[in-house]
Amino acid sequence: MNYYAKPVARLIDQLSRLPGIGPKTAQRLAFHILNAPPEVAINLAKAVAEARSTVRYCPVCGNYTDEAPCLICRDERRSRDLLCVVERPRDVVAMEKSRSFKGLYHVLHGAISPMEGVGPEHLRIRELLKRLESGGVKEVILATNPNVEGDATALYLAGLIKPLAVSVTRIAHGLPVGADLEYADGVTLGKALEGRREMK
Amino acid sequence: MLLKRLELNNFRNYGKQVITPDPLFNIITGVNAQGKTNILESIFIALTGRSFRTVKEKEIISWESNFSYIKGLFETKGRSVEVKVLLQPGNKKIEVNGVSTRGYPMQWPGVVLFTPDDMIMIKGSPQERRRFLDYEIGPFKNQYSHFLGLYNRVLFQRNKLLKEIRDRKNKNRSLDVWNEQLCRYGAKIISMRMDLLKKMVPTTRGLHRIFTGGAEEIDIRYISSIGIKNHAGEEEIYSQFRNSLKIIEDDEISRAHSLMGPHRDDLLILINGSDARIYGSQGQQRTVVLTLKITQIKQWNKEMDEYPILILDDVMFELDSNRRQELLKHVSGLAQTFVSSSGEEKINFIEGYTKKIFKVKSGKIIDI
Repeated sequence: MNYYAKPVARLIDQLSRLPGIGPKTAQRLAFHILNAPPEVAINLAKAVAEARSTVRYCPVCGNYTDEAPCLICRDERRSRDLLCVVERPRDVVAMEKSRSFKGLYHVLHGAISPMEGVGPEHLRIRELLKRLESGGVKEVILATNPNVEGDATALYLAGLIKPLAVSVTRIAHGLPVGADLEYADGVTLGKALEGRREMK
Repeated sequence: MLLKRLELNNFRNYGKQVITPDPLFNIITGVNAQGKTNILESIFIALTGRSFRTVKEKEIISWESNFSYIKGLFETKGRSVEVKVLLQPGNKKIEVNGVSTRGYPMQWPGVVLFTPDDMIMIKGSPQERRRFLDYEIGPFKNQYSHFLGLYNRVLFQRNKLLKEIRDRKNKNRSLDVWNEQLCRYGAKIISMRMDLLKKMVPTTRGLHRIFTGGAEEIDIRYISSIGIKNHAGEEEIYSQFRNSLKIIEDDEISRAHSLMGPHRDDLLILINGSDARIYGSQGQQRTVVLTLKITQIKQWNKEMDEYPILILDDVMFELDSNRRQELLKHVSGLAQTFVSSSGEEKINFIEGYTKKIFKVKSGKIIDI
């Protein structure tokens, strides 16, 4: 890497460690940063450093936050008897964008996966049970991903939560809204048929 | 399914080659190692997206090039479909009428393949018969491969967990959630397999009777590691699977392996009541495979209202003349057929059938 000055090489090296960024993109980003006015670089560096030092997990729900508890957990307008369990902080973002859920969240930070060495003890399950034991939650919605690992996690949680006399539900799987039936694959259609509901 | 035009580019030992096949019969001849099977392989890839000889794209790409493609122009139910398969080392792209797709380009395999290796299905280990169930019979059901994928994933995770429980000697409560999914998907697969066999075996039996002049009765039974009787329902299989798992749990942990389920099942093929694998002669075993292949062709026609393409790699001429005639009688005029043969003199028997003969020499078709 002699054709880069040492600081440039270091910058490219750091950038290319980010997910989705290959060496070429890293080079483009680096040159962009060097080309732009100095504030751009300083603001970027500040934002990275500040986010990293002030953001931590919310002690209640496990989502990223800079204050404890987080904004969602503190929001009085949200119903406190509804709890949605998700795998990752980014799933909270997805749910929030839908604007159709007005309860609270619990982020597990993963799903059970023996091949990756992730067992129930590595997830924020103890915190979840404590939350439920302290009362107030009437329904837990299990919104882990609809794959083998997410299903295993949901099954595991359902087994733990049911004895606490809290109702447990699983999000539905099926057709995406706005999609044409003819373009749906057989598996998705099969799932949608399985989860059909009576017309009211 | 009809192949109207095939174009190869840097595919194995072919540079650029275009073939316009006959709608009924195509014979590819030439001495050994000239590229006969390569043509058959390319047709198979165009229809299924995978090879029957290798999983490495690199092997398929000709030495002088770093990519290779196959273009097949097919006719299916009156419409033309162009399939392009682009192969690069470690990468494969399939385009159907210019739109990139995953899975079977035609939504179903559209091809039945018969090679000398198929004999291993009778003679070989249970794994070979499961391969037959999963890849030759399974695709008859739309969701089979999906559920097989899920089952295999659960199986893999569960085996890892069993090993962890054994090594750390901790009783892990999460085993139960894997049991639940193993049994759920396992029961689905077993019941689909049994269902498919129930549909197909009567056809197989009828064909076998014809091929053997009424001398032999064939029967195919599903041998389940869980001890399920044939024709059990999915729920019944599920609950028996779950109960059986409880009994063998300690054994599974100590061996760190899942010992029961569709991945341990087998087929028992009986000829006049005795196991074809052990007691069948070479000729009998060959007839069984032939019968099963023609059953598949007929079954596909029932399911899709269309005949798949039949590919016979080096097997046609291994059959005795009686069986050869029976085979021809059952496929001629129905399924477009591609046969490879190393000797021209052997093909006289197809007199009277319309056909095209392609002569292959070192990666080129030299004579049509």
